[in-house]
Amino acid sequence: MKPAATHRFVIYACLGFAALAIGTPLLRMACTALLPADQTRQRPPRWLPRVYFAAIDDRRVEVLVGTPVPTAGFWVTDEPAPDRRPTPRFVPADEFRQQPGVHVLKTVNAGWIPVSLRVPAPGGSSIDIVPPSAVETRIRPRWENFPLALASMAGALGEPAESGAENARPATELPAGFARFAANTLIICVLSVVGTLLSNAIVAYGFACLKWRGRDAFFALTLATMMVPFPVLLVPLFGVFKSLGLIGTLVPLWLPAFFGNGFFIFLLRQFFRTIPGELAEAARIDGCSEWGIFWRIILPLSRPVLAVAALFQFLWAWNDFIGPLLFLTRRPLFTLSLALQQYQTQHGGMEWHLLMAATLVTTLPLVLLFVLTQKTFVQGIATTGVKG
Amino acid sequence: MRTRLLALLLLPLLAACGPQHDAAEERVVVSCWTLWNGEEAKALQTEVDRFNRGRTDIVVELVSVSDLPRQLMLTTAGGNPPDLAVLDSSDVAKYAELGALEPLSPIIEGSGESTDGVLGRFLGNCATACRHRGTVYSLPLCSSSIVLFWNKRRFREAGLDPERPPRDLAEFDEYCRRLTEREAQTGRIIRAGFLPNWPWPELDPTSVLWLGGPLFARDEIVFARDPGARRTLEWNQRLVGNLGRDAYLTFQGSLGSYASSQNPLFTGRIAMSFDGPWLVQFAGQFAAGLEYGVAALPSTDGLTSPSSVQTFDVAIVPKGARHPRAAWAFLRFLFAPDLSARSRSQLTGVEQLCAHQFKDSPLRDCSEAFLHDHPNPHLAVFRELAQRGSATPLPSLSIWREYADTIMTACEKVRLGEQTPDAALAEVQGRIGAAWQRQRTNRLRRERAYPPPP
Amino acid sequence: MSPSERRSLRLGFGFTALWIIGLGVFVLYPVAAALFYSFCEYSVLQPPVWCGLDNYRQLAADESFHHAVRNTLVFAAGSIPLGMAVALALALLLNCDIRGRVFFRTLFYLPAIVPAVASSMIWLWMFNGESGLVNWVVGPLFRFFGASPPTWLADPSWAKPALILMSLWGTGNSMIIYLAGLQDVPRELYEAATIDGANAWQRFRHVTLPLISPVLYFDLIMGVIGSLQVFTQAYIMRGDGGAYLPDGAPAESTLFLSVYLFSTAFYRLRMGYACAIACILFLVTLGCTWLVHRAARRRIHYSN
Repeated sequence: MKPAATHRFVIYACLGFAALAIGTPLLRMACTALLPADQTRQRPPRWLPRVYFAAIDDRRVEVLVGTPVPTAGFWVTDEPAPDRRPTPRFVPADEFRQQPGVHVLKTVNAGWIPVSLRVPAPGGSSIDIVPPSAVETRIRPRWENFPLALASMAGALGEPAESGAENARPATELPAGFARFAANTLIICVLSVVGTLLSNAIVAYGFACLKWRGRDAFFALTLATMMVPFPVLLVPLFGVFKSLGLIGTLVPLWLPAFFGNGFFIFLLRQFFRTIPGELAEAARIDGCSEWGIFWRIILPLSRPVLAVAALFQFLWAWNDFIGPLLFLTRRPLFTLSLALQQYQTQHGGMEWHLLMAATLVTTLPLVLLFVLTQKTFVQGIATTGVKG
Repeated sequence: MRTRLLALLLLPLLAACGPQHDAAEERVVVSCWTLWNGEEAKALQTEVDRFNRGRTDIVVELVSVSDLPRQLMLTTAGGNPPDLAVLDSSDVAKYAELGALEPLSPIIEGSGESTDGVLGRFLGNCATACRHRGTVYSLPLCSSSIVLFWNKRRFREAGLDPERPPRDLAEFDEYCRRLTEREAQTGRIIRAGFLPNWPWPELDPTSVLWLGGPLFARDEIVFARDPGARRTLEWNQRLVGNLGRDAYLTFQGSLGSYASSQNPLFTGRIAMSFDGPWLVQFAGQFAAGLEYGVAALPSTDGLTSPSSVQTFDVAIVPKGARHPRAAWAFLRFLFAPDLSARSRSQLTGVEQLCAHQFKDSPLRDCSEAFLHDHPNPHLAVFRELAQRGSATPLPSLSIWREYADTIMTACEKVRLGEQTPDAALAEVQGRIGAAWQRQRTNRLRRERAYPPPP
Repeated sequence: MSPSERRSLRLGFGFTALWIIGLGVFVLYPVAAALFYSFCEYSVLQPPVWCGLDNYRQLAADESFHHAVRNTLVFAAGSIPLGMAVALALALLLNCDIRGRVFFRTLFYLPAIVPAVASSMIWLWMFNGESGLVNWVVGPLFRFFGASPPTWLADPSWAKPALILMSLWGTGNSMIIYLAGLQDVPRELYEAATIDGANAWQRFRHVTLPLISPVLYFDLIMGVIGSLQVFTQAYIMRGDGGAYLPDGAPAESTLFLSVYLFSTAFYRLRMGYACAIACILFLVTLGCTWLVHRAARRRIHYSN
């Protein structure tokens, strides 16, 4: 039943529109992450990062395009100090006063675009001013955003990360860099996946393959737990982990996974019940223990559903925010999500290019994981819905 | 059986992830938390190192903690607090009320000093801020007054005298109007004179104090009767009314990061802002050579002296701290700077700390070097405000956080035209009045259930 | 009880032992404790003091709480039906006989796996009033009608719509579930309906919808439970910029129950009051789920 041509056209148009609407935010994130700061705010929005060149003294040099200079004035820079790098800046002529510690690099006439060399050291190199018409442009991503963003995420102040602010931080503060956050996140993910696989399969077997008094009532209770919103549990759970002395450690984030979860028990039970009972029956007659049946027969048969549970748990643990926000107190133990959020709240105002770079780095591992495992994923999600 | 096996498997994991202690350390380890990071933390670290070098029995460990107020409470509740914490004085009352702080007098007196003697060494406001309901819970490390910063180049461009800041509220409004630039066709704001809650929304409650309000008087919340509150709300309404609501919101969302060269005051996108001494440091770091001025906040009708609002960074000892005496030893070290210091590099204790952070010392007596070799060229402005007592501190209220949040929300509503100033006054009064009532009931109830030891 | 019964009971409990502990420690005890604390004044730092119904009385008079309830319900009422509609539309599109289905399916699902914190950051940027992409697209439309484009997250009347729009972006899970449901619908039914002269809408209305109604029902229930506890987006996306803003900024328009609960409990340390909020949140969840269940029960078509 092939749809007619117009029909097909409409379908593809809709698909294209949806793809555009869904893909654009992701694309925008990726593009912003590669822009220099000044290009994030340009209107209309800038997608591709550009660099600008000009021919100065018969050499092609990379330049920065700044704001047009309204008046004549001076390009000046400070004497280099150990705690800051010299940044050239423009001072209008009428405001200029000769001060100690300030070098005049160049006198400028009005109506030009100021251009700066990469890092002009006062004395040595100089600042040149070229007219806009002489500026050429080329597309080049600003990869430096990534190390900058990661350094900021690790707690360094906004800009001076370039000038070795890493060393400037107190020695006692652990080097809680991006790798550390990623490691923490991975520890939580891996441990909770292990816990999920160990506990839920055993429990689900008890519900699916054994007959015992009170089982169905207990199972109904298990299903009911899915209705409890997590925020309801926050205060008492905090109390529980407080009395265990585990606040400020990673433990509260993975320990509960070792004790089962209503959703996974349900998911696994539904799957176990599709496994023909004769297999277990035959094993039982052969004198196999229940544990043996579970371990040798049921478990090997349920690899696909276990993979689904593992993926889900991994995803949840990676994406969890409220848990780390509640239980983690010190930066060296932060997860990626929490570090990203803390990065955002450090200062007023936003450095969107760096924030998007940090966001991209946090998201990318999951996207890769998804693309690699998408078949398992899609099947798994489908199972949860249809069997419900 | 299986559970036991699992437990066996889990135990090493638990042990590995639990808090780690320095084993076999003979010196007492004092852990000190601070909300400072970057340069400000470095300043404290310098003093920590100096202290550690001079002591064989104590070693202080400094940790930068983001979101410190919440984290501190959570670890205190969890029974494993640091021995010392540096935080904003406005949080102290709440923690004291919750019983999360160690009273300092017994610790101070245990070392042979008198509490009054120690407090007497601080400037008036600093000493007052230490007490909550008569008990000393905190000691000030730095004092910061909120002042007016202005970008001189913007003043010149707008045809204003760059050396003359607005002196009163009417003049301030006039300056704001003249310093606002718009795009001709769309009315979009390109550059503004002033934004009422840039760079931090806490400016709203600060403004109430600046414009004359006590906020709290005779054990009562007096927001609705507070002249400062009414002025603040009406002023906010006026400012945003002049800018245009949507234009104001759009402009606000377009501002660059505060601690960077994109700070709108540095780039001139905002011509005036109310901020603390740390901005002087940022200006030097990110906008060296920027021409700006620092002055007391504009005065208001009926108030002649230049005013300001004062905030403090204070040190506290959380309840359950393991080494309160060692923590006090470190504080004592900080409060005894070398008053004969001749140059900036010789400064010690709080003087070094404050100088490095561009702030004013809380101590009455300062060394010559602190006053004359201070990196903050505008120190005199700050020091004068603090000494003359014309800088108002934030009230020491256990429900301050709630009060401040409610004021911010009310101001936001008035700015955006969701509420009239009258309605906002009534709403804040109603909410915080009830909160204050609740606070008192709870205290009584708690005292009944757990009578305090005589 | 016969020995074999006793043995099976022992086995049953043995296999579910971990979950019995987990259920007790991580679900039942917390729920009971939350209920108990909701009648107390409690700060974790000091032992709880019984205060009867005081917390609930205060809730009744607390305007922030009223805002939180209203905001939460508005968000749920906006995001659930729209989300389902979008997910169903996408699923129907993907269910057509098209090329590149795997590509589109992957792309449409992708937002659902982006961490909530990350997607909040992305949409903060998208909704930025000055340089955001959303206003670049819809701005001309607003200007055409003589209005200035909204500042979304900075504007109390647009912040919730912005959050709802953002929630539509992550409907990938529902879409996949619906798609699986659609693929289970037997082709013959469509063919029979076509022979009977049914047009596309009638086929959708009388064949597709009834057959996937159990899937829709399941997703609806999960959606209700999920959207009533929305936290991360609202916690992060307060206002347009990054600085500290009070909860629910601007002007309490994004103050949701779980956000209010969190800051009451862990910033103001009013744990008893927070537990009262938690109990109300639980009741609201139960109530809404029950209402949905009642309304939907008769309309679900179970094929077997």
